[in-house]
Amino acid sequence: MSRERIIPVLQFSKTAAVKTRQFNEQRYLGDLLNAITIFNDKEVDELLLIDVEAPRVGHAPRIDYIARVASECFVPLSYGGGISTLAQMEALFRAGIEKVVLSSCFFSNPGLVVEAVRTFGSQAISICLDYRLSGNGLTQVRYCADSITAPETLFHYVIKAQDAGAGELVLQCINRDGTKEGYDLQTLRRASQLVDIPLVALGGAKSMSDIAAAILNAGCAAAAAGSLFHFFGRLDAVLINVPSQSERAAAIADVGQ
Amino acid sequence: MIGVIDYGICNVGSVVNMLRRIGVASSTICSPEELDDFERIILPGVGHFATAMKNLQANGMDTEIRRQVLEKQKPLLGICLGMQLLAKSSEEGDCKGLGLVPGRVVRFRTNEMSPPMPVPNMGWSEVKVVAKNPITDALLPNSRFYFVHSYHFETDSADLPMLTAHHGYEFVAGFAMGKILGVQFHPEKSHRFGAQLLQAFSQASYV
Repeated sequence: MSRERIIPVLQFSKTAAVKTRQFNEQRYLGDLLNAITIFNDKEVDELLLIDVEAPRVGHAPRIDYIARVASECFVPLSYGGGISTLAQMEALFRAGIEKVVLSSCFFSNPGLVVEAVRTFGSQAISICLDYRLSGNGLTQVRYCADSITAPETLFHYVIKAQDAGAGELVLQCINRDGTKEGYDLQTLRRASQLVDIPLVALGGAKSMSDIAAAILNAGCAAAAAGSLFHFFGRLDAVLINVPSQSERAAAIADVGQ
Repeated sequence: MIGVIDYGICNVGSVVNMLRRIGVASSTICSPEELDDFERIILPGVGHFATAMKNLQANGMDTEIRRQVLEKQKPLLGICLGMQLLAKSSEEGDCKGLGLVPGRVVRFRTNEMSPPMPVPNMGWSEVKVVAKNPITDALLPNSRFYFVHSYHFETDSADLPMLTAHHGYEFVAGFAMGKILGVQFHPEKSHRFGAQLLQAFSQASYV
């Protein structure tokens, strides 16, 4: 029996864990290594590490630092941010990363994705599509740290990502990032009907019910979240909190009814 | 001392880190000559079957692994692709494997799944013990492990499987043939459940 996957997301800049809101306003959360250790002790399903500085500043993945972080991680670890070559991917796998998350290069160099799949296998290659919802219900795909708009709609790229051989697809709604307004279930549901590869919801989760809804009602294989696991209470104090096995079972059962 | 084989495209880092965490001495091995220095061998793996075989063949590592296991009787644990490589052949790249265990590697057959499940199989799953040995005896209750794969091992031998898991249908999640072991999941990324399994592999005595 496969379980649903719940994935805490750790954004970082240099050695600090941060949390963005709609891809801006970074809030400092603490030392990244410390956060990784806590999530490990809580036996999370897996972790997604995103260097938010890399695509903005244009630097390559900081392999040595990532290797250090990965050495403290005994659950599956994905990494995204500034990846643009096969050599970087190989270095990341060697450093202890299970999956690389490709974003900008999917648009600027689609051949690289195909080559990466051929070299490392599709299970090791995720693609992350960042999109904005506009007022008229349309989706606008953005890349290069939200600086460029891709010409086609989100659904076009969802299919294209599967065709490129990606083993997993993360759909991140920029408008919802850090807002705790819930996932964009409508878009997720439509995307999940288009492809067979696992979809990961990201952006907006405020509760375990949102997580359960993304998986049970919107066809996602996994749900990822930042704020939900970083902030606690009405005042959003920084406190890493992860639902217990019984809490998650209860949320899944609730929504499943 | 455990030797973890590094053949270019694999997650040696994770395996070595986990072994260090549980206090098991290990070192990575890049050339076949080094294998002599180790009592037990781990063959990890991420990636494409045919590429992996090509890398193992490039420096004669394939022949040396077979010699260490068949002649010197050293315990071997294959992890994920490393497990699959121990089979006779794989559909991935239509390629021959190390041939240490009777069986083949096939892609998940989505048309036989009920209900249909996405491929690759990515995520945590509980496993069922179908044959007991020192490794399965050591597992914690309700052990769950992390799986990431599109292909799985298949065999006609009823004695070979030790663990099974379910993804659309039941498949072999682990096998044991004497000192030759393989697990489809990633013990090095399955926190205390995986730590327990690797601890057992490092200590199991085969008399």
